[in-house]
Amino acid sequence: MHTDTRDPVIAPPDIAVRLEGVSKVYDAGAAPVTALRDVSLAIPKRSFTAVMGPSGSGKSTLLQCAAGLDRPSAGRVTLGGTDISALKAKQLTVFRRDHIGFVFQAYNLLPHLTVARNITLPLLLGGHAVDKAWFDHVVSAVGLADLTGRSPLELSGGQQQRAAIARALITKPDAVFGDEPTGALDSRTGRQVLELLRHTATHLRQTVVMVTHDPVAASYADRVLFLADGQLVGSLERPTAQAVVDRMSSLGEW
Amino acid sequence: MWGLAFAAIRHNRGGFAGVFVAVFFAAALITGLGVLLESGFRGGVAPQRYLAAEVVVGGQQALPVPGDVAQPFTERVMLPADAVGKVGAVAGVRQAVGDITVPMTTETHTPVEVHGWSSAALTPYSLTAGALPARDGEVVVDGSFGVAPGAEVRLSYGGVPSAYKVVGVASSGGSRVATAFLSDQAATALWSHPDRVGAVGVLPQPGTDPATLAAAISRAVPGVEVYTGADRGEVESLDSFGARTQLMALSASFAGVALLIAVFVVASTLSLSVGQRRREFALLRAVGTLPRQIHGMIGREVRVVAGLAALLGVAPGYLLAGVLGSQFSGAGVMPADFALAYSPLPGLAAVVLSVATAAGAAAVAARRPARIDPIDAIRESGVETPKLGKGRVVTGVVLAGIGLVASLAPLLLPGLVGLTAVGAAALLLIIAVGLVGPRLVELFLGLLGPLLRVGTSPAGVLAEASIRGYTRRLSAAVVPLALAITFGSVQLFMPTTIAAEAATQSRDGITADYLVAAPGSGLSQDLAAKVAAVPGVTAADPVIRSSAVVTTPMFEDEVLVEQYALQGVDPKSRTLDLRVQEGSLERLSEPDTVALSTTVASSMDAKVGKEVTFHLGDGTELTATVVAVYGRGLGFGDLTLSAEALRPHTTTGLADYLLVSSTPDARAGVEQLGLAVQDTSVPAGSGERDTQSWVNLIALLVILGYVALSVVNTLVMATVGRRREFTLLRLIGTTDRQIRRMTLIESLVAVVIAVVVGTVTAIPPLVGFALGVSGQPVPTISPLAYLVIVGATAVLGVVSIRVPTRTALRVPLAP
Repeated sequence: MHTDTRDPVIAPPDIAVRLEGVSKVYDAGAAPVTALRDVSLAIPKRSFTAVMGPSGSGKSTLLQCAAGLDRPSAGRVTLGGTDISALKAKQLTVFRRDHIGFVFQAYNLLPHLTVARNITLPLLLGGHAVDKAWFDHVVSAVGLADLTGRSPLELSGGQQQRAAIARALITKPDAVFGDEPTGALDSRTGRQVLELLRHTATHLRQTVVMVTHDPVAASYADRVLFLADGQLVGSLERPTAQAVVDRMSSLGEW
Repeated sequence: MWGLAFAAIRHNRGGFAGVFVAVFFAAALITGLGVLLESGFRGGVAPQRYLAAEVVVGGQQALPVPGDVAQPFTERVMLPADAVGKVGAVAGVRQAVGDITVPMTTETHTPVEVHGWSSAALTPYSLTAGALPARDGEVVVDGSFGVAPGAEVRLSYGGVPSAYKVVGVASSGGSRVATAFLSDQAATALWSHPDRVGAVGVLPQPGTDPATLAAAISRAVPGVEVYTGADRGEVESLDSFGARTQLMALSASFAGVALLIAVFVVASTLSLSVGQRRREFALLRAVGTLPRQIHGMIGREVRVVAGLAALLGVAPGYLLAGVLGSQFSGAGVMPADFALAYSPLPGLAAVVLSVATAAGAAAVAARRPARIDPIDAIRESGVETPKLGKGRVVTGVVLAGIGLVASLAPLLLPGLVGLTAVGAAALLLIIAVGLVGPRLVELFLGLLGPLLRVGTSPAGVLAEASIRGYTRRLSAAVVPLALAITFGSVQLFMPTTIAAEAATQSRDGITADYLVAAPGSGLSQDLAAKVAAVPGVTAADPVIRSSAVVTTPMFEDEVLVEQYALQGVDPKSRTLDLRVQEGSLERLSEPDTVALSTTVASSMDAKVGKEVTFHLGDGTELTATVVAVYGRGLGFGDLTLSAEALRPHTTTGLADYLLVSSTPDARAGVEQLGLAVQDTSVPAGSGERDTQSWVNLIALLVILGYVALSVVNTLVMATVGRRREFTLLRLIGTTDRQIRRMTLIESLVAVVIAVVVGTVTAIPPLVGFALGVSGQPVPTISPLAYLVIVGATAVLGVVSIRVPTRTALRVPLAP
């Protein structure tokens, strides 16, 4: 039913996320801070995209605007065919619940709910039934099939992030957004999580967008977008870690 | 969704403990007060004296007040003697007996109720030995005298003893006072109300339904109150009737305050615990939880916790009712054999009310997390709660302004209205401090700044940084502490101000040399004459104390029905100086005249020469001309009649004390009459005030206990919420001792600010109150009581921070 709200004219079906002329200005008293300047981009479906840039380049703001956590000051954000910059606060919340998945750097799970409960929370909130087959598929894909009854406090950091990814996937969202999802993990565990995100895009046929400052993490993506001073300054297809390092060095301190 | 609620409660036990405790005590208190309230409707003393009379007819013992509890009269409302015949003529009445009760005392001052023998059938009393009293000087006594026929007993009426010959002994099923019977004629001779009876007992014809008969009597004899069943205890014991009214008024107002504070405590505890779960709610918002759903989650959690707490609080509530009941009868609010009415209703009401209250508080507390910014879920640092809203500050400042102005109301509005305004002013100021508290704390920190910098120890530097960085966290600790101090001071020092002024007025106003108090129930005119006849006595003026019910207009169509102390004096008395400001007390010898205190004169809008209407203690409506207005109403009573005019309207018809002036050696002569001679420093009406202040004290203790609970809750939770900060400090090498000292310094700063803010807030209403009471802007303050309030608050503040700090530090640092 929810497809009714979409306007197929706005975006061709092969684009998951589209930003058109998006700007974001933070009104911090006397001196407004411009975090994004006129950014336009399109992220194809079933792709894995990394967003990189030095500190203060606006990469977190870009993610927040793209994921419907924040509203752009100007421009338009279209997700799976819906212009989310036109949605009212409540509609945006519902849209986020049903069409967007999130993985944060830390504190992804409610410690008082079991892993299974955490994963199915968006469905519970939306009053949707759990698709048992999809749940089993996702849980085994993230490797937590035996741990769904546990408390998040009993899981390792990597297991917690994998549970967060499972939660992000449970609604079959238009896109999964990650904000430094491996930032709090050691390199080996981080690698497992990145492989899982890669798997998510390739085999579960989901769209993944991740902000990171780690060139190794970015090398797992199909494409890296580079941001500096709130503007898109380039991209790299099929990146290697070394290529990313070289490009970042040209952007200055990072 | 209920599963989510249970899981959240299990995980956040600490945060919910405060809510649990607050609701538990609220439920217990409401149950206890509910029992008292219900007892006000259904409780009472069991009938004894009129046990055999299935229907009892009495006077209308209270003045109905529209929309409120009826105001009881303190003297017995008598019936005309012909009511006995009228009741007797009603179909179904076998016999109607008029009963009179003459208050007498034995030689050991034990009170004895003396009746005419014909009313013995109402209990019934039956002779167990000897004969009926037939002549003057003959008496039948009950078993409590322990004498046999033929013995002689001395019974005093109004302080004058007479010898009686015991002709018989009678017994009954049980009696709360010693009882004796004279012949009807002899009893009537002592009765100070000719042609009136206290009550009419009805012995119905066999097979007559008491309720039907009561209705028939009500129709046949207008202007009376008809009692059946357990209600008959009421016409027997005037105290019981007054107690019911008092219970209703007390417990209702008390319960209101308790509920209000429960809302305050639950809401503040909840918003703290919700604040600490900020990340959790931000995450929920990020994954798409609607504000409505957050409201629902918090509401469900609170309903579960509050429901459980309320259910568990009911049982102790019923126990509390018993304890409060015995305290109230100890304080003289109700007779010792007053039976409380226990039913499941108060418990049920307590559960519903306290859960509803908690749910309301939850709705308030959930407003912030429901609107939380989902981006907070990905921000690293915990951010301090946002600044005070402009609306809140403006409201607080406006309320403070109104409170300050209202504090000075007694300057413009003399009398009760002004004092009532002061009470409201204190509440307004307290609410205002609650609203702008954080701003006040910031202000104080600015002033205290240089002092804070004195400390150069690591703990001092850390404390200063933490105080400056987290003003709002500090103010969360300061505000409840300050409110406790303000509330306690205002509640304690208003009554002491009144008591001190009453004592001063009474001391200054009695110009007699000494005072002769009533042994037992009162002093008769005969005795006054005897004292006056002692050589050397120049004056022996009787004073009768009673009460009046005055109805004054309040607002548009509201009326205020208040009971005032009323005294009867000798208009020519030179032993009393009421500080007459206008008119003359001597004119009280004219019929239908009254003197008023300035307080009542202004409430009734009366001056000398005007007519006023009010009800005397026995319910008689009197329209009288004001002949004098005097200043010392608090010490002596707000209305004054001549003793002659007042005497018929009292139950006993006796005086309460004599004001005696004499040559020094005549005092021994007065003492020889067997009378207790006292100094003149006993303030009139201090007994009633003692009862009132005692009840106030109970209320104060309960409410302060509640406030203390909220203080502890707030501080403990705030400190527990700093565990991360403590861990970080320890990781970078701060010793546990330094952290403890840091929190100690913080708590001391909080206490100092709280004492200053709390005390300053209490000053305007207390000054205004003192102005209204004595005309001087100096309230009477007990330094000890003040120190106890401040000390208790300080200890509470320091301990509630110290204990959780220690607990937090006991956790070993993870490697």
